[in-house]
Amino acid sequence: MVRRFYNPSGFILLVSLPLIFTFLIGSIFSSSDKKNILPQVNLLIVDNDSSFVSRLVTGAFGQGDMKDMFETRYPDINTGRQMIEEGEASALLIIPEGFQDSLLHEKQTDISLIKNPGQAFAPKIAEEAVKILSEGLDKILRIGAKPLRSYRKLLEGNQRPTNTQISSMAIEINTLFSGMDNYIYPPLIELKKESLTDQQQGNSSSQNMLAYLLAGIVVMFLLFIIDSMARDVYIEMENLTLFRILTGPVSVKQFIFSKQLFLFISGFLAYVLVWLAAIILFGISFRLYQFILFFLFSILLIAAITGIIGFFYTLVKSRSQGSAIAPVIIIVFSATGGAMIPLNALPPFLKNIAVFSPVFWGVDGLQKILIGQYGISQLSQHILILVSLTLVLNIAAFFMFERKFRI
Amino acid sequence: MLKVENLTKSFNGKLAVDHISFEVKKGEIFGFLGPNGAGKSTTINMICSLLKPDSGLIYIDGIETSFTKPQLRKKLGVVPQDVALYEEISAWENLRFWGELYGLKGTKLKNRIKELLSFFGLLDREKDKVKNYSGGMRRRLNLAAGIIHQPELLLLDEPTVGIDPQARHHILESVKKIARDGTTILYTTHYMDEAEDLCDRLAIIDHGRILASGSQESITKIVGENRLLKVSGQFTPENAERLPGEIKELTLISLQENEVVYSLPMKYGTGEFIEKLHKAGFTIENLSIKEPSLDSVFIKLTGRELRD
Repeated sequence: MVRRFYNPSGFILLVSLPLIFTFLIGSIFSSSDKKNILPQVNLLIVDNDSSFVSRLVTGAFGQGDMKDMFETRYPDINTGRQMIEEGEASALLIIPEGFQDSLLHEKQTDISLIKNPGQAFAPKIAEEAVKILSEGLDKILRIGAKPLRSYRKLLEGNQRPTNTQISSMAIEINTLFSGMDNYIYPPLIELKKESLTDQQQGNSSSQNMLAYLLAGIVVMFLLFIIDSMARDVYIEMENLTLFRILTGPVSVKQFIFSKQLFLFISGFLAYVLVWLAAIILFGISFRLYQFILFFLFSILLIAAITGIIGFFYTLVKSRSQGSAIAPVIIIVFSATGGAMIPLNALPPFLKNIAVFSPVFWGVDGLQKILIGQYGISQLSQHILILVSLTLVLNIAAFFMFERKFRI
Repeated sequence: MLKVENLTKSFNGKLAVDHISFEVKKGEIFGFLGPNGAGKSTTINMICSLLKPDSGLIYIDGIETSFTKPQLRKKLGVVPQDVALYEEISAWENLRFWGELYGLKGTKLKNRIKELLSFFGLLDREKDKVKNYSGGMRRRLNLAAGIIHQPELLLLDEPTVGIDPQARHHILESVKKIARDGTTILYTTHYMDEAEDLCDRLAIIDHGRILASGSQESITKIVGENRLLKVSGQFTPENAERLPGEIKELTLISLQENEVVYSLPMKYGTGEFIEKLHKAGFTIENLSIKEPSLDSVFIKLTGRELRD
């Protein structure tokens, strides 16, 4: 530890990296007026009808939540097609000429949506939004068919509508909405937007998102930190200080145990520093019970990682071999275990194999604790697996190193 | 202080140490003299429990050692052949670590560190990192780390390899001082002059076997009162083998292509010998005459010089 104290640059770098990563991600997810954390969908609209109804449709993209989701532009058809081909927009919505007329005559009509094939996500959002609008408009037109027929007759008639005709139509519309009253107001199903973290902790959603993300990043970097410390055994072999130590009144068992303890303490220190910094910088907070659970689970997690890395280094023949292979293993475990990318964002086949990554049990457990909705009973499987890894791998590493140092 | 009985060690079927036995008395400097690969370091490693012997016994201060007695090793100090120090920390921190390893602490440790750094001329560089030290300084610190706990028995494995004559001289003087302070020393080397200068008693080892052991005087008597005559040049093997029959008490020690070594009692002059060489058809390119010494003992026992 004294040697690391005099040369702490590597340790500091490894401790600061997870904070930098989290800060970058947190800047995207930070608490602000931004309601939409995703980039806007670039939607082109060509309105060939320029009617009241077509303007209702096109205008919907500039209202409410849709206004935040979509950035709309109105080129002509040729320009629009060219922009799609050149990748300057996500989708092109074309409202045909005669759109309103068809609807008023209760004739089927089509609107076209040309999607940018080079994008996967944004065009899909545009498609769904247009679908919803279309279905909504369709329902309204079916429900209001009768008054619409009256309205159409009025429009098609050459004479000015009489007061009686207007009153009659107004009564029809009023009757229609009165009848619909019981069905549409107040709405029986209301969308209530909430996040689990807000509900339970009273924290801002962005801070707990940071903590949620940080859990995975910290576990991954903990693996890297302990890996860099574990190479010390081979450094001591190369420098011959190991053999000098073993000529002293220190047994092989004592030496190995001290190295394992060194790994654990180094990992623990790094872990504490990262979370302390996160709490100060990002304002993450815990309830008492949650903190105790978090602390104990973290101890177990660090012990398990000590075992994983320690055991790995009994299998390699040299420091350079360990340096070459360890990062690959760490990245594979981290990627499959949900440390690099949230598990629910992974494709199904990766989700299925996640349980075989020891990282999964640590990251998932930490994230559940940070959400604040899980107690010991819900984490029992995680605890059992981590305890098993801790005991089996640390003991195996101990005996395998003992065998290695005996010539 | 140290007793070794029938110690044997093989590596991959090759015998590195072949049933060697010797004893080091308390307070003496015992030399282990032999070329590289003779088995000196292997013997040292077995004594300090880094290697498990295939057979044999080792006694330190009358107590039989084994792998399960690390506490016995408190009496032992080891200075390995290669410098074994932590380069990224200072001399002071190194000595503190090694001292604490042997149970020293507090003021006693602090004073001992100061004493050693002063003794080895490193006090003004005590805070510098070892990686910035010269080779000679590292060797001295390496030695200091081996004696920080004032061991009763010190194992020195070729401590002067690869350093300049001045630094070497300093190390040798330090070793003498350590011995004068009462430490028993087992000193391995392949330098004849070091063995002659330092050791009270010594053993000559080659190919894992002790060829001779005892005081310098008793070992030198192996060659008796004979000089060694080494002739390099052009000659036939038959002539070389015939020559001892023509000169009284001349003994052929070794014969190689273009080089032959004879032994001749000192009471005889070398004039007749040289004359006989010419008559036998020798074309002499070089003739060296060695008075009885450890070198000549080694040549007699092994047929070659130690530096070969």
